[in-house]
Amino acid sequence: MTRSTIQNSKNTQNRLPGGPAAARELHRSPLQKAARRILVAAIWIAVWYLAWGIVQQEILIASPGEVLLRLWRLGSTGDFWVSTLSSLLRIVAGFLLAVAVGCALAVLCRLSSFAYDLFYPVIRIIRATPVASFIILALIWLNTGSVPVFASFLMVFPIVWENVYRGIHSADKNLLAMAKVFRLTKGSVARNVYIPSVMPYFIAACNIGIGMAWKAGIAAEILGVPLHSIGTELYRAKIYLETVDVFAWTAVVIALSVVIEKVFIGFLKKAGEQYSLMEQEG
Amino acid sequence: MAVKIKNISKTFKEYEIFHHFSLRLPDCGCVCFFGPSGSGKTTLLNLIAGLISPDAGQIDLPPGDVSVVFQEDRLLPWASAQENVKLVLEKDLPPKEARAQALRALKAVFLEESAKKRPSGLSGGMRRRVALARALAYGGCVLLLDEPFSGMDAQIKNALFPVLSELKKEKLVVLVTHYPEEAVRLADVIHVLAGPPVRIAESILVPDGLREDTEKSLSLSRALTARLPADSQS
Repeated sequence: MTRSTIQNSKNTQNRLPGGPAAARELHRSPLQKAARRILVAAIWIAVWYLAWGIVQQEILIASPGEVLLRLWRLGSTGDFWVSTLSSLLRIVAGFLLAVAVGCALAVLCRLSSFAYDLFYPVIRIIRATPVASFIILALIWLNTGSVPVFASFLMVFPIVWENVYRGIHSADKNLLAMAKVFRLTKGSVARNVYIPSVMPYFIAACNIGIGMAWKAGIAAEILGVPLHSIGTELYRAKIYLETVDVFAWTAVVIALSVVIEKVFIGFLKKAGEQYSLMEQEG
Repeated sequence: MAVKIKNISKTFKEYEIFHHFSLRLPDCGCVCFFGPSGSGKTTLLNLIAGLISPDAGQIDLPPGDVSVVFQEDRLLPWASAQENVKLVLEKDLPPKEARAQALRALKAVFLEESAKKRPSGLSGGMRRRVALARALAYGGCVLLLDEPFSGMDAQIKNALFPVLSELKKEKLVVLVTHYPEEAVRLADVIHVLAGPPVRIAESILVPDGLREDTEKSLSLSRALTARLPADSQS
């Protein structure tokens, strides 16, 4: 490898998001990557075991083995799947509603400065208000099954609105002038200039939003205790000091959040691939 | 109907760029605005293109479209050369025909082999040619060219001059450049700009016969170079 090649390679590494560590990750084989992940998981499970061994009180920390066993037992009951599916539907509904309303309102605010002035204070208030306050109010206004939808919506909506608004604002002014000169249709400008500009901001918003939707949704379920929900199961586990159940249900929430995030973000990235700035031949 | 610039004034911040500036451009042929950087050439082009409006006065354009090669390429970075050209044809043509016409425009600028490449895979000169192909494909009765040959090698430039010379027979081509050879090779009239406020310091008519006479062309190029400030002469 010549000196200039080494230099170029170093520059490329430093330009990658995540820096040199991300660049090293890129050069590992899938087998190496899988082995690394298993090792990391093993280390943290060992730390968990160690903490459990030191504390020696099931009421404070459940052992990984017991949690796994509890998950296995829960999984074999129909109630587990009903609760899990109900929570999943509520939270995904809240998230998707926030995405739809956030995007629509961001476009409206970009088109009309009055709309921006009208909605901006409301969005600031939503962002600054503790989610618990909204949940309590929602419990007064709505039925308990709708509260997690509402809580997830309120957590995600300001993030989507702000990111999409910024994305629209960041559209290249030179390209917009080009579109004006060549009299491109509004649809063409949206497709060719705005959507590619918004895509990275939108993906970032969804990435953050999915985790937030789960946190707010489960919190709302714990406070509202609707029929068939993960939050209700967590609440029961807390009442009866079933720490193993708390760990098991929390593991379910984490797993669902990660899976939904991977699927949804993977889909968005696939959709946005055509706007990637990497050179594609053919 | 010709392009008529009527008594326009334009101020940016506290700088008056145009002060009651008027000019009439012909229906066809090539008019060149020549001058050093900062002499208001691009602003004048942007005013004609309608990208900025004058504070006072007006610009009358003939009915029909105005096509532009911007100083920057202004290509979609995520689209191929062909898609960039096709973009301006989509409104009027079905996709298949637009694609074929885009390829023909790229062929006219000797770039058909790079049709599938994105701007990031093209050199600066090649990107200029994609921008030129886009403007050619769009058509219209006025073609505005802002430093269209920057980054191109001499061979490509020489091959493109006849393409544009043919075009100026049927439409108005407005060329902005600070390269004397480009002005001499293409223009029928060269307006040497000075200012700001922008004014036409001198208008030079370039007879067709002059281009065939190497000695006279060189002499005019040298004369134009002498009108540039010392730090702009190359």
